[in-house]
Amino acid sequence: MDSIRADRACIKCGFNLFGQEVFKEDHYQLAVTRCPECGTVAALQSYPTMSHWVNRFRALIAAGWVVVLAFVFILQMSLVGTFADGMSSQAGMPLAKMIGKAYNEWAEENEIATNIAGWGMNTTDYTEYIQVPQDWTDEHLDEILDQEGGLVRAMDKSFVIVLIPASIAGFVLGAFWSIVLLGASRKKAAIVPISLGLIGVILMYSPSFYQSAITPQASEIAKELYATYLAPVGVIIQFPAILLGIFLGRKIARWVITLTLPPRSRVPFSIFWTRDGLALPSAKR
Amino acid sequence: MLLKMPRSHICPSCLTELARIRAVPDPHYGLAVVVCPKCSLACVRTKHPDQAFWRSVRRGVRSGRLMVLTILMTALSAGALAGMSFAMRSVLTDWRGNFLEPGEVVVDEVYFLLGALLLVMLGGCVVRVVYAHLPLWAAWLMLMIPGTVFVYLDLMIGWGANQMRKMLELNQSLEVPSHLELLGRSRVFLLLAGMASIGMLLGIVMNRMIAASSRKRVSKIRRKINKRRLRQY
Repeated sequence: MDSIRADRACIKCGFNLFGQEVFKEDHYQLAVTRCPECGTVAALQSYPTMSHWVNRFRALIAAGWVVVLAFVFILQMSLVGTFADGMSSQAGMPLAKMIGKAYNEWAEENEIATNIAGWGMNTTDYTEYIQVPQDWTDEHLDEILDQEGGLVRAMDKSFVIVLIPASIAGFVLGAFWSIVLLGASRKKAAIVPISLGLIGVILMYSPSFYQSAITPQASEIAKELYATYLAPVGVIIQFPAILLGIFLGRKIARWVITLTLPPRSRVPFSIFWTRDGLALPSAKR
Repeated sequence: MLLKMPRSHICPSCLTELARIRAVPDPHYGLAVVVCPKCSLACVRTKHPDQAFWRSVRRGVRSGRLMVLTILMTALSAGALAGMSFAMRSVLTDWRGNFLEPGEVVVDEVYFLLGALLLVMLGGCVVRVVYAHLPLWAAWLMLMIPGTVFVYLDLMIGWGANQMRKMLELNQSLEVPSHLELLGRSRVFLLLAGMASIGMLLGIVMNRMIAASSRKRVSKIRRKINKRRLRQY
């Protein structure tokens, strides 16, 4: 028989069992010792129970991770809104100028001061920033649209350029969700960004989404007109980029890990392989 | 000095305390094996889950740090290569993009030139060291691909934007570098890429030195362990 000559905490009261005699108990002949404080028998061939702090830290890390994911979720929603807003603003710029110009001329004829009259510059260059009263818009908008040949003809086609950063952002976010949602298969991981896009589309059709100020600027009026048609289309066009990001995200992560880390350092990231049923890449060159 | 007491480890056969006996990795599975000095039973020392958790966290952080450092070093080296290609163009080539004769290079800029060459060589060396686990050609590509992208970034963006402009019939356009500018830049880039490649060859030598010093350290530790084991028995 020997005695404990190192640190071992009692599983019940935490008392250090240092110096306690180790003996084999009668029933199973297991090596045990007895706590002198509380009398609890400690089996010495098994692990002592884990300290509560490990589970607390695990819970804390998991909670932090959920908060980060929720933050990215909200960020992606705001990105969807920003791109939709940018597309509609860009598309509606010529119409905004026309609305502003028409109102400016009307205001001059009727000797009404506009909000840009006091800017001290050539006001015809900044007509899209003129505040146009709602009743004037209701009365004259159809007339202006007829002059311009309708909404489609009046559109600035360069709004398509906004789709490039939107697609890149969609791809990056798709890849992000594919990497962080390792607990889910790629099909299931795709649900998050796609559902997010659908929420965005539903929000865009809600009447309050593009509600302008009491006296909106000409650019806001034009944006609101185009947003109803273009913004949801813009979001839906991002879906292929998101799906591509979901599909390639884990592959890219594995490629970057293999490329940047020597074999021994790849072990903590082995989940990227094991999750998809793959073997870790061999160490040979 | 505060001495840390080891965790208790009891021999399952004779109940002897094995905490103070160093575990030696067994040659077959790499398990930490402790041989009981009383009953000579070989038993495995396993880590407590508390310890294993924090160890895995530390390993993850270490690997993440290494990955960030590797990417940062690659970006810096490729950035140095591209940046020096831009800076050296006016020093080494004329407006037609041809290299200047040795006598035509401004003397004051010779030191700048030497510094640039050394910097680019150092970049090549660093990239070879951080990608020691990759074959030479792969490490070379890891420097040259981002370097090429950086050098021709303005051309790529300008070309893409102008294609878009043509497609959408827009009025805006983006300036792209002229052919002569690109010719001069490409020539300087090729020269510096050659210097970076020489730096990579130096990196191979450095990797060998690192490996040799690591081997020496490992064998020193092994000798120490063996000595301790001999003292214990």
